[in-house]
Amino acid sequence: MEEEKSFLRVAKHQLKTPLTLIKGYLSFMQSGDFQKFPPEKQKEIADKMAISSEKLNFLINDVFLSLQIKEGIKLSPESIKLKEFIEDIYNTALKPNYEKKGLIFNIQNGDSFEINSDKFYLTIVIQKLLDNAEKYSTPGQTVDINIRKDDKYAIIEIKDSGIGLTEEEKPKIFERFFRGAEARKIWPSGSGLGLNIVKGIIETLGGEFSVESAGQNQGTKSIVKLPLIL
Amino acid sequence: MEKVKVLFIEDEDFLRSLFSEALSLDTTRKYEVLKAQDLISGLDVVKISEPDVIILDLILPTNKAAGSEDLSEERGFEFLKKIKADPKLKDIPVVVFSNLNEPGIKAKAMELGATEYLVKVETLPQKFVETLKKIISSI
Repeated sequence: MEEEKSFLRVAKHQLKTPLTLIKGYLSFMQSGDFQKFPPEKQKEIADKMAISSEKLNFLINDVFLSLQIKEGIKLSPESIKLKEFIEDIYNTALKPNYEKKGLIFNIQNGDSFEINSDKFYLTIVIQKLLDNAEKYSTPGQTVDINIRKDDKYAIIEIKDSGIGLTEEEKPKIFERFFRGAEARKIWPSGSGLGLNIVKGIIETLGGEFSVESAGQNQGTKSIVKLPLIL
Repeated sequence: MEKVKVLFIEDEDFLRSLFSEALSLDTTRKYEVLKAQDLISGLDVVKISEPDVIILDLILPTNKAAGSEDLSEERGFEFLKKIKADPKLKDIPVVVFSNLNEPGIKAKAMELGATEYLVKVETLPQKFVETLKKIISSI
């Protein structure tokens, strides 16, 4: 209860940050002050407002999702062909951004793997991890997805060659609202809730989630373990 | 015209830019905006540059470079206490600028010596500049 209260307090605070910026710049427009800035500054301000609106959207979605997961989610297990499923998510939601950045999406193995899990929540997991890999990679790099299995689990590894994690960041990545310094610079709209949500969903699905990195600028590997049958 | 040195201790770059831009529109005074993204560098800048006014966010990382983040107002209060306990720095007005708007927090900030407490989301840039001008003219 105390934890949720503190989460809501921080969430309220976080939601107000992009709102402050949007309200502030809008007041420049209402008062006519906006016109006093040179054109390049006006463009910069418009971009900041767009980023803040996007951040607000991410925050609202992720705060609600985070609360939903904490309260307990109702699962609807069904058969999922893993490789096809991940490719579909990539093609529908991520491909334009990967192509724009010149990233190579390389998925290997897992052609015959089927698991029994919840499609809706697993989509959120894969989407967030592929999105992170894209955001934190440098143009032209490759994002490798490898699917394998052992006796109990299907294992999905998503590996990028991006900004990686510092030693100080590693123990904090699952904390709600934590964002590394480099991650903030590269993707200012991020909510700081993504990995916490991913971990929460995977554990609800009976699986395990871990993240590895050899260090800053050494890339990141997300390892998702899902039970073959939910 | 002598420049007024304003130090923003604020980790959100976009917010600092917004309120710095508002200051740049003030035709009655010139401002030199100093910045610090965390409390350790904030204290260093205060000691080295001796700003005329400090704008202090309450929820700040201790050390931004280390990626550490403490989402509690306590560190901001500790900072305020340090400034007010230092004979050389205690007279610098500190405007606490936060999106926390619980009455207890506002009261504590004022008790610790803050000159003003502004809630960011409720403070339009124009009001921010007016408040700052009032404080500066009373120094």
